[in-house]
Amino acid sequence: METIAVSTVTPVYHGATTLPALVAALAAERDAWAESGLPVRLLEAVFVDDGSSDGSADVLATLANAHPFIRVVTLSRNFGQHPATIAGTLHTSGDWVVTLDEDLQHHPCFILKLLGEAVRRQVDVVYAKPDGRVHQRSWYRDLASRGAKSLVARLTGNANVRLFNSYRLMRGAVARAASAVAVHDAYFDMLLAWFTNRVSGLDLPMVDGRHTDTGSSGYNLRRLLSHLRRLLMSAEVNYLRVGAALGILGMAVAGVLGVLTIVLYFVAPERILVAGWASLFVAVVFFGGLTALLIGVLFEYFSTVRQQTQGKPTFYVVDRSDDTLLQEVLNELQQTAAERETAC
Amino acid sequence: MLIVQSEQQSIALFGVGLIGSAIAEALQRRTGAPATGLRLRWASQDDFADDLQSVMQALEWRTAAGARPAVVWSAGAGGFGAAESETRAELQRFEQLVGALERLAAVRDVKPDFHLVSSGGGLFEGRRAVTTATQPASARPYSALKLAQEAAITSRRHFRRIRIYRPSSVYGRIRPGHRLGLVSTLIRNGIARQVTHLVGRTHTLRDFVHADDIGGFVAREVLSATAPDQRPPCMLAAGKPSSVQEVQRAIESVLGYRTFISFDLRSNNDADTTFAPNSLPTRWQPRPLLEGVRGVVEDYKSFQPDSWRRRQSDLDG
Repeated sequence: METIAVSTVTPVYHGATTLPALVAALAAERDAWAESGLPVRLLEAVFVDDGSSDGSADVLATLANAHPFIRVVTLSRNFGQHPATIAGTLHTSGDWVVTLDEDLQHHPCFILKLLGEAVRRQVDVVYAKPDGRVHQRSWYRDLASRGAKSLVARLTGNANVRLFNSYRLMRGAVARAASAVAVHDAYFDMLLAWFTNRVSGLDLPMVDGRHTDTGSSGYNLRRLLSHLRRLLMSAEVNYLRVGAALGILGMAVAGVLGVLTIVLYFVAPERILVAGWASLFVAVVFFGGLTALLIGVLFEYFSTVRQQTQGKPTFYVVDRSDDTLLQEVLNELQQTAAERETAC
Repeated sequence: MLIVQSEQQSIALFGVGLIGSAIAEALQRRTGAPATGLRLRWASQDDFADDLQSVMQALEWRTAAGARPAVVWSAGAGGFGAAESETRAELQRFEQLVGALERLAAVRDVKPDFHLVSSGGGLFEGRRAVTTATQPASARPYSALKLAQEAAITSRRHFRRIRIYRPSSVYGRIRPGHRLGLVSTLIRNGIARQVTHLVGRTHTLRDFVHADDIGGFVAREVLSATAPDQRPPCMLAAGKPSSVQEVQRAIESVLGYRTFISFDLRSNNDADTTFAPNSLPTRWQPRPLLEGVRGVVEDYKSFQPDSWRRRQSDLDG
């Protein structure tokens, strides 16, 4: 039977204690899918050891011996979550790729639900949206995260930024294409936007267990700001166009003021109290606007060159024909997804 | 073909194309032993039998002097798209060789080692996350040939050691007469600023390995003096799939400019073929794609066709 293959990718950093539970959950999903008779299979689960020093490598080796569908990729040092996700994605060959955190904050029992959503809405990426507070003991973390995403969404003109989450299901070809062009310090989800705008979100229960249990989280203000910086650096320069627009506005204002000053000079010269001040002001506003405009144009050129260097495609061809296989069994898929959700 | 004579071993290498030449180079590098070239006449069964006799005489002579005989088969005239008539002829030559080795074993009472370079890409075409447990299938004459060759040697008891290697999609140094494959074709055309016409799609996945990595691994296996045994076939793959787009990106980043591909979508060659890293042999260390691409580009830019041809004709005798 022809099947749709799903791969998972999990960046691992100091996850020795949580990995066995995650692998057990993945194995349970794999078995449940196989028993369901659906044309879907969990092909592989790729774990990327991102320079852990807590024995995660040994735990992964043991788990890989016990479960043949586990693949382990070991990075030479700690590179960070996004590079690890990119490395893992490039090691997958599934039709769909799901990225999961190592601590079961992203439970695999929702993968079928995400897949059902992707097929139903005919999209290429589905982000999980927390349906409540992720950090239950500190509301301000969630608020800060949401606020930062909204700010970037406004600055970049990319409304999907609000959906960004590390629990995501992506069409395999699109995910690998975005990973293949990723350069150092790239924000993975921004690259996805180069290849697709068929993006959706799905409300799911997500709780940062580590934060709930211990009060500490992998994310702090410094990391939040770092994320924000990378988001902006990976984005197109839409927000810099605001500067160029202000420059044009400045020049226009200077033009109007200049005309008024000339008219005033001939019509009512007695109202000019300080000679030369108005023309100096007009000249400053005009050349300030011109400078802002030229800097905006320069940034526009720079942005074009940068995107070309980063590998932004002129176009990308995608094949969605395999989706019909799941569309034909969408009801059964959604029913099994609901059962799996209940099971966890 | 080449015969590499070291003090302990006498190695006959059939096929010095992309993989074979990498094995030959690795063998010579590791042994420092001289190599003798011999041009085989593959077209005719009788001519091939005559040539084979010369090879066997050389092996027999060295075996009498105490050297352990080993044969490496990395030949494959037709390649992936070979017609059935081509593969039938190649299988005949292969069986001639196996028969000749059996006679040598009987005469000299010494069992040779046999190393067969099969084809992971051919046997597992269109399969994903292939492991050693995955059953091969013969979708083309080429894969049927490889399966038949594997069966031909594993069914015989006249070999001391049998090793079967199943490399995935191979790329390597660009040389006249060598098969190129996707990566090398893209590099060659990229350097020449030509458009590559490709049968496949941007997101088609393959597992690319560098011929020199295969050469080094096979040479180490050939030269290792382990006890007689017969191991299951080993996959020589990167364990990491790469899309055409990823390969193109790697090449562009090395060349520093854009390359151009036109895709032929009317193909039956666009199914993904990928290999799981779990089933790769120990001590097998394939280089990352970017590193391999860089090596091929640098090598091709400094390649001197005339001096290479002179060296080849020296080897061919």
